[in-house]
Amino acid sequence: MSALEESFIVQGELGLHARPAGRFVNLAGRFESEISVSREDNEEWVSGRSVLSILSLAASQGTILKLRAEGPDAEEAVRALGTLLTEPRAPA
Amino acid sequence: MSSKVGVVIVTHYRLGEEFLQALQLILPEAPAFAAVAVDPNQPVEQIRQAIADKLAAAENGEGVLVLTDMFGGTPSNMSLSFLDEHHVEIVTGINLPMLVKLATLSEDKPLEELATFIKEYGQRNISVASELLPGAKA
Repeated sequence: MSALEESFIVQGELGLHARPAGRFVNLAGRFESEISVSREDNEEWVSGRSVLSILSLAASQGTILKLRAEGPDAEEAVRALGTLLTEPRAPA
Repeated sequence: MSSKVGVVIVTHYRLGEEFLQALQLILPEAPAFAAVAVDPNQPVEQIRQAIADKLAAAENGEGVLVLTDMFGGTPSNMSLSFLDEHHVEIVTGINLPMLVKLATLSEDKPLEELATFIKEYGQRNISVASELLPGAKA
């Protein structure tokens, strides 16, 4: 069982708002690993499986988020979710 | 993903349908919940029939959770009349966090437990935004 932690800068112009948060949770649910997220400036970790918890991070463009994955597919999970966080704009 | 309990939203006018459209935007794979738009000018029997039809369609043998917009309003009062004849629980004061949660539940809950859970979840997710924002006034 491996745990992985990596930081990403939120790139979307509108920040991590409801729609990308929904996509994040959907994507997180496809991995076996336990996913948690926190702001770099705050030690509070929230579940990557709850849209409302993700939204409570209030991550705007430029916010640095820490992503933690614990489980057999931690590496793939961090890569895929990190890619989503760093998308330059909100998805259509 | 979602509970086997059916979900029907009953509201003044098209509030419910608009809620579902917002839910679909956030979670395109959300289960298709049903909505009944109540126009208080409609004949009572017509409103009752519209609710009855959606309840029947949503029933999977585990009961139906009815979400209404406000206790005491016509959509809520009309829904209450089904308490005796159907396996339903009615939770009033719907909000979008409640719907997002219902669409992403990871385990099935029995109807009564789900109703209490989603009431508390909806209440918990009403916020003074500045209290949540990091660095904002405490």
